[in-house]
Amino acid sequence: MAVKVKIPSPLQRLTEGKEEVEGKPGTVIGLLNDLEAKFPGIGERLSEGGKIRRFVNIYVNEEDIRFLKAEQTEVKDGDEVSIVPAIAGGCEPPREGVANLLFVENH
Amino acid sequence: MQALSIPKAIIDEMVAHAKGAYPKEACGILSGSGDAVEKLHRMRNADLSSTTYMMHPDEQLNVMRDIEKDGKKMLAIYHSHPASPAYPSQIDINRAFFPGTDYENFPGTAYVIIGLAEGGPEIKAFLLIGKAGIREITIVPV
Repeated sequence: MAVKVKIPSPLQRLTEGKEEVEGKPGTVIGLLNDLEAKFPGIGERLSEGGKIRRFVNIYVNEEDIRFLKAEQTEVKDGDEVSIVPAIAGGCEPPREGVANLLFVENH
Repeated sequence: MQALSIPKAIIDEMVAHAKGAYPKEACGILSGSGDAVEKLHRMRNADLSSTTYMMHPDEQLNVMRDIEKDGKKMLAIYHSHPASPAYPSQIDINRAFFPGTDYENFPGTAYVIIGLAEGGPEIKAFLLIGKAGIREITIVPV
């Protein structure tokens, strides 16, 4: 039995279309490095310099690894690791010129 | 998807959510079947910011799993722009793609924006067509 790794649809083109692949027990970062060896290109999409990228959520058995031991979270045979893109966005911050103008007007 | 039909009660709830969260950004998910929204899922904005949002990761996974269990689909992601128009920002577009790729995170899912700037609220829905393209789709209140 290995670790079950659920791959999000934008990365399935790197896993030959597979929604689920097998991962290596150990730590999350070790598992990602092992995935990179099997599916070149996947590792750099998920982590940079040993850290998980900001808008990538990784869960071990439905627990967000940010609340566990992050990249060092342990994964065992039979565990399920889910990789899910964060849902995020935002609006443009006010332009500096506009902010300065408001500042001048208010003072 | 050419249009998104949304029950009026859900449109009202989105606006109430956006106004209630003001001046911070509100965010949530609309689920349903085909192009018909059936349910609104309010989400916590983990950023607690007036210029960005990120859905609380635990809530996001739970809601996505619930939608799947119910045999429904995530049809749209909504969020508010407290002080700007209902139009996707560059940040919205950048974060809709998997980091370091040109692959959309949730292909086929629409983005609904509630703009609270002057004269608002205005609500618009969009689909992304690659990183350079946005197509507005009609919201049909039902």
